Amino acid sequence: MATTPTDPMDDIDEDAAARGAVYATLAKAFEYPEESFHSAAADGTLEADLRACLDRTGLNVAVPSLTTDDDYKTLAARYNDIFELGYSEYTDRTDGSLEAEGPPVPLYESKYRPDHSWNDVNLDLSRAYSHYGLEIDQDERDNHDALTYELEFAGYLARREAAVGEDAAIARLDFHDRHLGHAAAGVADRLADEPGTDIYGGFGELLEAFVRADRNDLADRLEDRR
Amino acid sequence: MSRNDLTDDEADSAGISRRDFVRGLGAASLLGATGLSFADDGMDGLEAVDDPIGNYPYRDWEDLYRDEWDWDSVARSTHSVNCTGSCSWNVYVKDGQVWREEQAGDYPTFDESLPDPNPRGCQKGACYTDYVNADQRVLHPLRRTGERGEGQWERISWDEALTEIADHVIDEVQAGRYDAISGFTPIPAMSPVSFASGSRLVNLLGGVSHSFYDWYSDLPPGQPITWGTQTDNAESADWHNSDYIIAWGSNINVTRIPDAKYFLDAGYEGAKRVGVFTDYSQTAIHTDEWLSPHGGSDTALALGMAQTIVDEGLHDEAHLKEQTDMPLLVREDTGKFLRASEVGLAEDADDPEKVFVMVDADGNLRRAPGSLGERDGQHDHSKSIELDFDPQLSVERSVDTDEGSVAVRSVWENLTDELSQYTPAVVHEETGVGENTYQRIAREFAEADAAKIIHGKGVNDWYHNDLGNRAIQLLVTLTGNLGDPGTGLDHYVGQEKIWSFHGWQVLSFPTGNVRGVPTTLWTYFHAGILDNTDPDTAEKIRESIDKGWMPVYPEERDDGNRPDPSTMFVWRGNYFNQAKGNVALEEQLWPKLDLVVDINFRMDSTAMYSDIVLPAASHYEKYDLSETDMHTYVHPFTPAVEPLGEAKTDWEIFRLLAEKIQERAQERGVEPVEDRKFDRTIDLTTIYDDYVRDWETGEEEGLVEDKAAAEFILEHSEETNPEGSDEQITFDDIDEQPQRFLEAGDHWTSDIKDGEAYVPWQDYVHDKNPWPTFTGRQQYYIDHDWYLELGEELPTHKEGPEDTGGDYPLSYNTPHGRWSIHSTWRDSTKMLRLQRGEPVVYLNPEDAEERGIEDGDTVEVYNDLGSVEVQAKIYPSSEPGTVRHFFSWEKFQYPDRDNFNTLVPMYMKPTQLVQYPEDTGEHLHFFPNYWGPTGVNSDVRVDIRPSGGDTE
Repeated sequence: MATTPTDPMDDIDEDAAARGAVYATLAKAFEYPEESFHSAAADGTLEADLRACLDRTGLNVAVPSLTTDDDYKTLAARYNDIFELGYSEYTDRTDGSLEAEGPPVPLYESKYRPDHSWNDVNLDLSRAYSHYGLEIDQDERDNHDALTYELEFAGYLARREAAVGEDAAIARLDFHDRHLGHAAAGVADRLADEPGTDIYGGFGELLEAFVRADRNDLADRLEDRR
Repeated sequence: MSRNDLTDDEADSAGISRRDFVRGLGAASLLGATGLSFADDGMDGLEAVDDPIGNYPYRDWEDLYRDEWDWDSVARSTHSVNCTGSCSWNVYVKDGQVWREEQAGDYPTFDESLPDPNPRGCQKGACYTDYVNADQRVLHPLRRTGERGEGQWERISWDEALTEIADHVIDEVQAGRYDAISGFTPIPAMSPVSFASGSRLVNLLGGVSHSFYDWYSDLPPGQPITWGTQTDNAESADWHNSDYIIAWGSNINVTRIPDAKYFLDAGYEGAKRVGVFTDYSQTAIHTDEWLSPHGGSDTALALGMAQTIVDEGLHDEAHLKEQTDMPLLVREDTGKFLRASEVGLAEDADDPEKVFVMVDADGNLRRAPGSLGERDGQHDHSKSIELDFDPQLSVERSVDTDEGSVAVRSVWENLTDELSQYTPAVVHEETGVGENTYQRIAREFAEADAAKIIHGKGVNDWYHNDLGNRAIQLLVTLTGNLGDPGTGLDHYVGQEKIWSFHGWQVLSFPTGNVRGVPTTLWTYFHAGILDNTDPDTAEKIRESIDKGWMPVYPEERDDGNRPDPSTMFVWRGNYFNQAKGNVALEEQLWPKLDLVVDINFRMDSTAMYSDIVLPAASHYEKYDLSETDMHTYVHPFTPAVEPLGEAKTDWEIFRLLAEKIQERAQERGVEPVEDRKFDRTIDLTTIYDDYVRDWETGEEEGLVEDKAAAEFILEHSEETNPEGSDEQITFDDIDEQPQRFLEAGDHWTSDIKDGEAYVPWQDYVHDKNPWPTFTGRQQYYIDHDWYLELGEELPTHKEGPEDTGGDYPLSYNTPHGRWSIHSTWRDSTKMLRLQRGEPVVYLNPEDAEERGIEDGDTVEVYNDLGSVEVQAKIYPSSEPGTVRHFFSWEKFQYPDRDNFNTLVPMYMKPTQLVQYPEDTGEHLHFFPNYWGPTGVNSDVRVDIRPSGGDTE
């Protein structure tokens, strides 16, 4: 550990900080893989340190295997296959029901919110990011409901809770209920049904389990304050 | 719970301040999780623009929904699909995201007597936002890793993608195979800057620009044949000026939604509206009378109506004498026009062999003014067709020529002979239309003050479309319904022309040397049609190519070899999905291409079968112009938001590719290459400089940005910057409000006038300029050897080719649908929910019952070429015997990736491969989208059965 007992780290809410680190890691994991991500996944340091972070959260979350034997190109191709490339398919050709018009596991919350319009989901997120002074990088912009944005935002709120003030915890709980909980469960369900997910299958399990555990913990803590 | 007591920006011993920590910088390191350092450099997608540790009381967030109807900005834009709508929209933006669009509704009114031009739009445009934000957007450059079409891709950087393409292109040019590089993009009018982006680069490379209007079978060949012009139409507002409108195979209520109001409104004003459709279509149900000829029998119906008009003396004799070839004499022995040179007339003409002969009221032979032989080229407005004598229409006599006495007859005599075959009994037998009904319609049409035909794709997709066109055109010619408000034959199929022509042309093809190719011929030639068609057609294709009437690239080399095409760029189109004969294309043409690059905002079928896909900006993320021949306005695309992901505008993409080619060419030290055909040098070491240079003014780097390219078009077009006038339309003007064009350039046949809807043909009908035909007149008689050989010198009804696709009992056609613009929106969830959500065929109940098919069944439609699995819809409005498969579903929307075109073989009509006159070709010569073989598809035969049936 880089910290010592005299480090100001002692003055930061370590549990929330660790949760923030887990969210930041998950955000990276669901982005198109970079070489550094692949290296950490291949040599096992990703799994080990993520496990260590989770140990510091006080949440009881099992960590699945998060290593890969893929070389970098294979991992990138796997990501593309699962998350990026897709087209319309039909599950039932007799009644014409449409399975998906995107990839097998879309990384957008609105795809898992059949009762909510795209606009409703995205507008609410837009206001949420905006409320906290955050904007989407326009150099390579994506929709507000992109899972990585939501995970980055969850990490941001957790770090605010760790370093600025507890009231972020209420926002975190609300964010789980309004958005991230739906996205995480949807992505995990789809990943569980998808063959050949390799490391992404593990990340799907972790995503769902961690978000659920964090949410339930927040709900317990804030039961009287909502 | 303890709290950090650092000052906000002071770093702790690990080098992290509180602000950085909340931003996510080094947060994992602070926890000692060095294995997570890849996630430790802050947030990637979200940026903290305000203080990350500022005070954000949470309760405010709960009220966020109240701000839903606030906008940061509203941008004007439209949609760049192969659609004639050109509808201006407002696009609403908040937080860098498009949320919805709304019809702009501010086209200025130019004629108070016409209905308000606003609003324009349709349900597709109203949900384009879904595409902008869709997860089927292509967001990054992709390189194929599996087989073509397999869907295996790797994301690559822009630099990697451009370098790979650039090196390939340099290799091809240096090897002299620049004419193996193809660029396919359709319809300039829908976004001329995007069209020009790739066309400009392909032009500088010496590559091949593909036609589209003929390939899509949108081009009505009868119009160049008869009127010497690609197409010229009244704007839709002119429908309102008609007293009588026949919608002939044009399903206005489905395919012309923004304009349909004029059709309905004309009815309120008292116009009679007749529909000619094989089915009781969505437009037929709104007409006053519906005629339902058998499929492919429109020619017989039109000639029957013409016979009624002539027989009852309802024709406009003055119009026919002055404006048409009807008085011209034709030799009985050869079938050729009698030339003035043969009878000692017109010896002062430049070429008396191309001057034609009439007989005046006194029986004297007279030269026909305005013939090609006395004109300076196809278009020569210094001459006139006005007559100073009264020619006879009916002539049958002999004349003395150098060769002795020759029997001659006028075109009119020949035509009336031809028409006399179309008796009521014959017409009824051929078409199924009642004898009295069609004759009454013919009479009403001839007697109306202003009568118009709206001519659609339903009659243009047949093998004999040229004959069909000529026969239907004959109705407006016989009745003199040309050149005046409310008249004409308006063929609204595809967008053949762009108003701001000159600016677009010099932007797209700066060298002035265009290696254009007829795409139908190019596609079928390289897909092996010479081995897969009848011997006569194959021979005529060879002859046309050998004589240089139609080009095919790569061209034959001096050693007699012809290389294969090697490289294809596709943008703004879905060539692979839309190709007729697609089985042969996929099996034979596609493997010849070493590199297919698709520039696209979505993964359509062409993208899926490409090697490299480059992410393009959507329509709301770029600058461009929008125009259509349905109206006379120009309005812009402006970028409401930044392109999603790594997407770039088409202009930027091709500009960057030019830059990379120049960079690599300089690094590789390549030498300039002399063009085999044109007097120019292809110098790849300066190609970027050439790409961004304004060739009109010489300004270096004047065209770096796409907005500058849009302004260039406006600046250099007569329609927006007329010569000799202070008036000019600028980009700022059209961003403020759509602007009506100020003038019509030389490629239009009438002027744009204040207070009047645009109506074509006035240059000829009113100003008496020669029509741009061989004879200088509307020409219904074509004395080309091939036409004479085939018995098509005059419009005549012929059965289509037999057994196209095999000997099957049902006719197969593929009309345009309501819920997509071709393949765009075919995969839109909203649009799919308005229909059955998957490829569907419409069947007459009798045909279905006979085959044990019920509504909703999965069925196979099949012929000798293949089989496609689709859903059956029982459609009582259909005539028996036709399978109607509304087209353009993507290949991947069918179970086996065989699509609607799988059942369509390669076939084309030789009459559309000619040059005329054969030696000089002023009247008919290949020019992309003006004259070339059409990619027809309506003669196909199929059968249908419940899915899983026996294939034998």
